[in-house]
Amino acid sequence: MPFSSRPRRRKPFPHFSRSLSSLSLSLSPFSLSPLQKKQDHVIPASSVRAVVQARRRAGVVGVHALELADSKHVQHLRSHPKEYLAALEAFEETELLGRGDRYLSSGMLAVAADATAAVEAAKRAAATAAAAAAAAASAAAAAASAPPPLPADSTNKNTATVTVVRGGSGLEKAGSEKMGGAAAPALRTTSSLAAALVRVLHRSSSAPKATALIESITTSAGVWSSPFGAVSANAKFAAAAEGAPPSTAEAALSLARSQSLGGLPVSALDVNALCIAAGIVFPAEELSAI
Amino acid sequence: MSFASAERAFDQHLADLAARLADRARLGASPRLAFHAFSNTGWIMYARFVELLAPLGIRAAGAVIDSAPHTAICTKVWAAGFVSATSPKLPPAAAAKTLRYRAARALFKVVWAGERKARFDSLVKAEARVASFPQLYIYSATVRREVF
Repeated sequence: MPFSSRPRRRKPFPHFSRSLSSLSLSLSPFSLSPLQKKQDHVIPASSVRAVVQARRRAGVVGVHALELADSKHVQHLRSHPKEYLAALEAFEETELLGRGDRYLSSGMLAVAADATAAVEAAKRAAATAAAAAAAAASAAAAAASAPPPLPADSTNKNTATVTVVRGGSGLEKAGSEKMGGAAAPALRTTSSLAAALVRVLHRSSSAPKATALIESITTSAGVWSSPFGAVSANAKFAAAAEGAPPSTAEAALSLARSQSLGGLPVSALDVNALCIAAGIVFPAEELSAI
Repeated sequence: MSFASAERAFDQHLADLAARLADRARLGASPRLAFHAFSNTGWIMYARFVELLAPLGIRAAGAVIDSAPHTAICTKVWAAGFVSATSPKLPPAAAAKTLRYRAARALFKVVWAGERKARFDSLVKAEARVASFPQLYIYSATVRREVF
């Protein structure tokens, strides 16, 4: 029953309640105080905490949580790049690498965080050794980030670590300057992640097959819930860049611009589809070739 | 668009993926996966992945969940997320944004009812049953203000 006609309660003090109602009209759902502007207004922290606690109670080994203060919905990588990447790499080290396989490429994550640096690295590498460009760039980016491990995890893997990081405005500013340029934030995020994906694809042995698969998955993801078609657009330019020369990050970025993705409202889902797809093409033997 | 038709389209591609992973398993490569999901819609995709892969004996190696999950269906949350995604240029207190929010909420009240609600709940339960692999949750510490 979407439009329920609930009987109105009679108000005991008409003047008082009228002034209250005019006040509440000025407070629209989106008017936020300066303190609340950097919160996640979509997913309540309590919901995530409940899931984390339920997993721990169920005895799942290796449940971690990174709780970030002053961070908006799906903007954590942008507002806290260091903490985000440190947590990811620590997760990879303690939970994924420790189990005999390598699934997340630290190179890819570093590239995703800093597309500009990756492009520069790719340029330099392409000038010196064209064939090894992608590997060198990712290695340099990974070495540059060199994050500390998550605290307290070496002692007990069943105890999840909750780290509250207070982000200063300086860090955020530095991050936005580093991402830089006139492009829209959504485009920057999408293109950097797509660039990362393309670089990964370039290194994989079955690149054309993987690209076709990714395109099919991301296109169906568009059917699933994205009304904008940006998912398939991303997949297409990623696939097009797949056949590009070694400076693939740069190629993907220019392709992103030529595809005029800037005008599209790119949702987190698009990035998500790319990341899921990137995770799929990460078997150990392909990464060992890097 | 119904949940069922979206799932059919999705599952077809997942079958292709499963075939590829089965090929890898025959070659001796590990067929396990790592997921990195963003937001609740991303989490739904991830949950569907692991739900479908579990009967095939394919278990994820780990999952990184960014800004999710919200396991209860909340039309306020869906409407706010939808409006934020579709009209990012509007100033926060714009009347048009509030109107869109109200329209979106009315829509989501219709969308998230009956069969779809039951399907979402079953997906949440299935994910909880299957997700015994390492997980990293990254989310905002601040509590959402109940203003709607």
